[in-house]
Amino acid sequence: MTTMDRRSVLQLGTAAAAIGLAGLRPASAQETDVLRIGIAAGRPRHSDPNLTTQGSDNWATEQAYEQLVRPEDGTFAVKPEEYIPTLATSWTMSEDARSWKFKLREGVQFHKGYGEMTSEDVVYSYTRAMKAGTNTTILANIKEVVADGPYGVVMTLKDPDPLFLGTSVFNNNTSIVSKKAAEKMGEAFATDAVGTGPYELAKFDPNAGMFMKRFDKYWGTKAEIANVECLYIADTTARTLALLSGKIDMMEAVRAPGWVDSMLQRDRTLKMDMTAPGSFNTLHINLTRPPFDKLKVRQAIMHAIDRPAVAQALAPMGGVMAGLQPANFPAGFKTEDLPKELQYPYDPEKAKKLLAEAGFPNGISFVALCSKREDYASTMLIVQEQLRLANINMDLKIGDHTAYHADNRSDKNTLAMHSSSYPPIPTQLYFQQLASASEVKSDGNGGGNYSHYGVAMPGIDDLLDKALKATSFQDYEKTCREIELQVLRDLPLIGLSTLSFTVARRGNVDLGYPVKSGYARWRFHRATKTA
Amino acid sequence: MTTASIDTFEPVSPAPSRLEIFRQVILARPATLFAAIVILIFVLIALLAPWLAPYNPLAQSFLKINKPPSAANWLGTDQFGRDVLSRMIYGSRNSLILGLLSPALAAVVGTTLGVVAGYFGGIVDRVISRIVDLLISFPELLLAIIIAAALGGGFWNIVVVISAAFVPGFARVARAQTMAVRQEPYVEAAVAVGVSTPVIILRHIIPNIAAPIVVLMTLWTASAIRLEASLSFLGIGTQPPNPSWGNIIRDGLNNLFGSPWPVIGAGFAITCVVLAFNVFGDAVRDILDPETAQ
Repeated sequence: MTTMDRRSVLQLGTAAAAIGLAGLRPASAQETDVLRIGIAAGRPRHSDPNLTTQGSDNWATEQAYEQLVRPEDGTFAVKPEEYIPTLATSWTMSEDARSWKFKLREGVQFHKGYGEMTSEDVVYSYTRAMKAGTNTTILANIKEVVADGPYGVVMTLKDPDPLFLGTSVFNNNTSIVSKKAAEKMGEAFATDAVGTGPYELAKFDPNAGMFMKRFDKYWGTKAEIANVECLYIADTTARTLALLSGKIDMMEAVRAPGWVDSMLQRDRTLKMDMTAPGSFNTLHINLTRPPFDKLKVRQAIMHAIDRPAVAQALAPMGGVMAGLQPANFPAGFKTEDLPKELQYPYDPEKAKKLLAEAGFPNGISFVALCSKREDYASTMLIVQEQLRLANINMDLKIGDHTAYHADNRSDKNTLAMHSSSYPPIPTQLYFQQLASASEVKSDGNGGGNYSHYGVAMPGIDDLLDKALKATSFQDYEKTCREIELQVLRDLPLIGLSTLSFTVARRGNVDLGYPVKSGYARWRFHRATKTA
Repeated sequence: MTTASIDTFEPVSPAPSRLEIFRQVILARPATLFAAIVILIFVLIALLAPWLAPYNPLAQSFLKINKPPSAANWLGTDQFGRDVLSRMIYGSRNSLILGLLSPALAAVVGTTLGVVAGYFGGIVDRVISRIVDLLISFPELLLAIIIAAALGGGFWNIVVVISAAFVPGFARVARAQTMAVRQEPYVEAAVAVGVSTPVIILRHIIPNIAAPIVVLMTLWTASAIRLEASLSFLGIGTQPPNPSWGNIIRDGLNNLFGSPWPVIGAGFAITCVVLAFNVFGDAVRDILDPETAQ
């Protein structure tokens, strides 16, 4: 197996592009037994799925780990019955949706000779994710997980959750890890990985990426391509050049206006794998910063932003959100189905009028922070220009992506854009971005409710509580729709657009399945590659 | 009888006047003349930007993203559908104003420090010189990045950043020149008759060290333009949506294959202006500082 570091990818990419630009394509000496993906981050941080804070690291964890249940590759399970048996072969939910029983698959082997997976490993994996990790809030609803023989597990919940498979079981944090390996390795487990997936981690190189090889004792159909390399190439140009020259087979796309079209113009054989809806791009309005405490100012902002145009600008990746959920998700509205006063059509003149009524006949000016990552920066530059036409002058301070998130988390922003991908479980977004329990704190210990909704003004906490306690999907969705309407009335959070998570793939690689929806990562075990 | 007439002596030609050198250096050299014309054109473009630019440089249009050059958009459009030519025309303002203002400011501060160090010597000289040595050990771009990262973007911050990057160079030249001039009899005479120190510095030192400083200033105008472009390219210079040649290249790079025109256009403009200021700076040196030139 040949490995490449970022520097050689960069050098080769630049050289190849120079040749390519001169009209001479390099003869690509491609190996069909290795699949390389260029990842949009500087370096890998974790390979433990309970610790990944950088979404990009999940490209590797997705190959190495599995959960008890999974949806069909390339999809989200919108309804509970769409999950397919994975490490569990069958499961049952009690009538009150509080107790879940799983029967485990027998004979599943862990990587690196750590033996067979049993209920002990499942209990361990859940218990550690409930105690610590990046998702303890959502997993807090689990009361206990106990073994029921070597191949059975029973999970008891505090509140009923008919969507438990989606909220907690098909979850990065509750991937099944080997108890023996995790206990033996201790802290080293964070950058080593022992799972049950179709690929096992061969090398974690903090400067280059994660290198994986086919796991020959995989319980299911073995992976087609022998090796997968997740190469970290943060620079968009270097990554693009590496793809065009064939040094990598896939790359995390540049989610900026016009990028997809320009790539396809350059190379017609490229394929674009896109999830729909992908990321939910939302805009928090900080209710504690005047004049945003005034509803009319927030309404003015809503009328000043041409949301369909934002989605259109990012075509074909962008999608419209009438509220905070796309129309095909539970609780999602189509714009025309909303009450007239909550549709907020683009109308800069009306925005100016609302500002005048709020006491700002000459408009308003403020500073907002923004990340320089292309999806953030391009969306906010579009919003900035739209606001300007309604006399709302937003001075954007565009800076480092990590620093931007840290600033948001410490309540330093006014209009804070946030991009996150969610499963078809609306309460996850409500909980993370709107619940008073997730209110942002200036010391950085708060959550992702950057608008202070529910604290600076009454929020949706009661409705959220009601939705989380619903025992049927119908009741759940009905309450979620009430939340959508309430948020559109109060406007602490604006759904700007959805943005497909996109990977550009060379034409000689076939994933083996179409990517339709799902999290911002997918598996390569069915992929094939021709020379 | 010795009748050596003065005719037999080699004729001694008078030293050429500065005007004469100007004529020789600027007008007689096609390259310098060309550079002067290029600078003039760009200065005019910057001054007349609102009248020259066909569109508002900030106006977006998502119906025409990444379009190639056409009759309506001579240099095409960028990823937000903004007219590249209009952005370049407005971008010239940032590049030129920063290019001219920053070396001038740096010259004032640097010369002050250098003259003070060179004139007073002793502990003052040692303190200033060590600080200047410390700063000069960083490459200009690195120093600018460090300061920009601390101060953040914005026009005046960039002026400060670029000026600060050039101050050590000016200080060092001014100090060396001052130390040389300080030994001159006319300075000693001024001290002897009791002329006050500020007057000596202003009337006798500064005018006599001005030539190399002015030369440095002209040459560093090109560096300042390059530095501004580099900082903006790195995202810590002129902040979007305001155009500057550096951030036009940066924005264009994401879309190099969709529309290379922003990168080509802005790159060409930077090359032209930097080259023109360098050639022009060489000519200024030839006029003001003929010894170095020879």
